[in-house]
Amino acid sequence: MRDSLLRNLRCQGHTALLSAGGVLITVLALCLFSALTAPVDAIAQTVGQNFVVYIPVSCMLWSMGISLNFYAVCAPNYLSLGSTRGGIFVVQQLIKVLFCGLGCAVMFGSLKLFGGPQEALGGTALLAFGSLLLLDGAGELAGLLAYRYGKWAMLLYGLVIFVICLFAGGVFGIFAASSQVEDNLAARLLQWAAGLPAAGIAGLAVAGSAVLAAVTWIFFRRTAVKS
Amino acid sequence: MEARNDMTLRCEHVSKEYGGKRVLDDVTLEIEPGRIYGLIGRNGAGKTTLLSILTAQNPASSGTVTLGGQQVWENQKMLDHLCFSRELNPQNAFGNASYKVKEYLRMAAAYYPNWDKAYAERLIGLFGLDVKKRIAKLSKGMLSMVTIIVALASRADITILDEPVAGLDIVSRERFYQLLIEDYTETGRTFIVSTHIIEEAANVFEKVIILHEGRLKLVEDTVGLVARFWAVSGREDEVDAACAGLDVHHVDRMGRGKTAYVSTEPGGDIRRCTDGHAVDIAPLSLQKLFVALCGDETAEGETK
Repeated sequence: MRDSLLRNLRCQGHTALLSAGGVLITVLALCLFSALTAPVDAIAQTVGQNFVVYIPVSCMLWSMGISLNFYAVCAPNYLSLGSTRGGIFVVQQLIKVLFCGLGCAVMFGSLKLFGGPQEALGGTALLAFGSLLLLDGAGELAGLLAYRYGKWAMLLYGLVIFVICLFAGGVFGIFAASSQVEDNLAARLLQWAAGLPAAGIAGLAVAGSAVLAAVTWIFFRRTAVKS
Repeated sequence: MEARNDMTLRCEHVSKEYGGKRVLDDVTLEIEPGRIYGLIGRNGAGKTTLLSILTAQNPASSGTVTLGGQQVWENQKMLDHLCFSRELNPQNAFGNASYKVKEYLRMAAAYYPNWDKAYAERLIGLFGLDVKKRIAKLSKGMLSMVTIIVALASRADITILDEPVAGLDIVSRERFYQLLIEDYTETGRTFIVSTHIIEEAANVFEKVIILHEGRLKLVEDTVGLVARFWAVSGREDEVDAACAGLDVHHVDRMGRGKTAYVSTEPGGDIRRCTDGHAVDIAPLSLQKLFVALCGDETAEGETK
């Protein structure tokens, strides 16, 4: 078992490192964009402030695509070379948590090192971590459904996500609208969101990710390698 | 040759269904260690499905697959003894088409515990393969070469090749058979080779597995199998009389003449049946035998 996990870690870890490289390149590209569009006398300040946001944004941009690609492309290849589904799945979950955790740790460390808004720092990092995990989980399941059942399953999955987001947005909107603090809905929404416990929301996101991972396993454990 | 007595691969009552259609039906098969098997069958017979189930790349709808008495499914210890080098499909949007050859071989090296790097490099040189090319850009012949390299360099105890010679020219095919024999002589490991080019491979196979419409038709030693199949030809009434009591698998008619493809029991003598009748008898090649067994369903096939 240990040898199997190490073997999977070597191959899957290689792919994860390439993905991390992609995130880094994206962050650098965004920083360059920020530098080119910032006022000349405030380039360093602008880039420094935006750098912290670019990390989770880049992670988010990449993570769903990476996890979608994994079960559609990489996992069948590892299966065809004799790996077990359990070995692939366990290592991928580990890599997922490390990838998201590392992104948030870098963001957290950057804020501490370079300064910036320190209030609710821990909560923000937790929220970013939970959101990344949730996105990754959604991408994993999308990729696996696409591999097993084709494009229509993927489209149906996207539709379900869309409906869930509509519903969730509606619920949040109702709560925000009923707060009666400001006349402006956006302001009510922000104030309502600021009052939410970040750790609690992050916990919900992590729980959601775990549910998605469990559903992914249910489909993956009997997946066949296609010719 | 080193004996590998505990490496018997068994599948028992294996069936596979896709959407209500049964593609494998109650297949029970034992692969003895240290032999070269040929798996032959028509298109859609279920060969690739069977091989993928034997190597846990496809779950069976029912039945079990064991290696040395242990379940193969999700058992890395057993899977480490197996290599299923399947036909690569460059047009498959999912899978290995996006990798370069060297990346794919590097992954294979990581997953097969007995991977022989020096041997792989020797084979790459022998086949003249460009390892920097993407699998999606390879010709059919080059794809076969990659399949062969993975299979041979894996040094797995049981190595399965699915249509390894598809797309290869005759020189490359002869080279492959030579390499297979050399590897087998050196290591004594078990090979299962699925192929449609039966005549060339017949000399290599020690045992033949014939799959027909998802069912196991027969598993037999090649020499013994070929020895009991005959073509009996002559005038129709003479052929009918000579073949009385024999299993007739296929019949060809031309005017008043008739050729019956028959089989005797193992060790049986065809002449005991044909002596005294004005018929010609000729041995059948493995290919002709296969066509007689699994050929055109609309042709006559009498069994007496």
